[in-house]
Amino acid sequence: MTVGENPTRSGRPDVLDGPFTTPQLLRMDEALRLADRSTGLTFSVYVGDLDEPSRESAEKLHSQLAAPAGSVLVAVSPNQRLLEIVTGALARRRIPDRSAKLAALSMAAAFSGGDLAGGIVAGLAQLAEYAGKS
Amino acid sequence: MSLSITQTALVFVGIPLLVVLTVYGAVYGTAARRVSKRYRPGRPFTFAPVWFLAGTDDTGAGRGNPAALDAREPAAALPPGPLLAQAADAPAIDHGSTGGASDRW
Repeated sequence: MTVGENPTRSGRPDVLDGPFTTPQLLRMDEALRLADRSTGLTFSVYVGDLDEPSRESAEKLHSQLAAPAGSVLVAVSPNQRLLEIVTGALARRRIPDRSAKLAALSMAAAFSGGDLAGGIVAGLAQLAEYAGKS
Repeated sequence: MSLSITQTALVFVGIPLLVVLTVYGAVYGTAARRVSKRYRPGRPFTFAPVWFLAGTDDTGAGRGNPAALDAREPAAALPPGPLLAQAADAPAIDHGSTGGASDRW
C-alpha cells in the first residue's frame, strides 16, 4: 500500500484519490526519503482507521514492516482523531519517548487545524532531527 | 423618457436577478461540482487507508561521491515484491519493546 502501488484500471494510483494533492504527496515523499537517508532508520506513515485498541493496532502494523526494530511508524487516524508513533527497539534508543511525544504534540496541533500533510511532514522532520545522523 | 410597467420591471428586477444568478452560478456551479477532498477535523474521513514508505532504493550509496551518484543507474520506481515482510493477517511477532507516543486532537 505504498505510493504507486495498486494502480487502478486506468493506471492511476489509488493514492491520488485520497485526501492529498500531488504536491503534498511529493512533499511527504521527500520528507520520508530525507528522514530515512539522514538517520538510517526506516520511517513510514499510515493514514487510515486503526482498530481498537489503537495502540496495539499500530504496533501490529509496525511489526509488519521489513525491519521493525529500526523502524518508526507514524499512524494517523483522522476519523478517530488520534495519532500513534511507534518506534522499534533500536529506533527507540535514538528517539526517546519524550521526543516522540513532542513530535506527536506538534503533529496533533497541525491536524487539529485540518493540515494532515503539513503535520506529517513537520513531524517526520522533527523525529529525524531527534534521531540525529546515522 | 417614459418607461412602461414591463420595462421598469425588466430593468429593476430582471437585471439584478440576472446579476445574482450569474454570481451564484459562478460560485456554486464550479465549487460544488468537485467535492472538496480536504480533511476537516470532525468531518468523516472516507478515504481508503494509505501506507507510505520511502522508496527502497539505496539513496545513500553514492553519498560523498558525486561522480558515483551521477553514474548510478536510475533506480526502478518500486521493487516488484511486497515491501511488507508479513501478511496483514499474520500474528504479531515480538520484536522487543516498542516505544513511541500517542496523541489526540
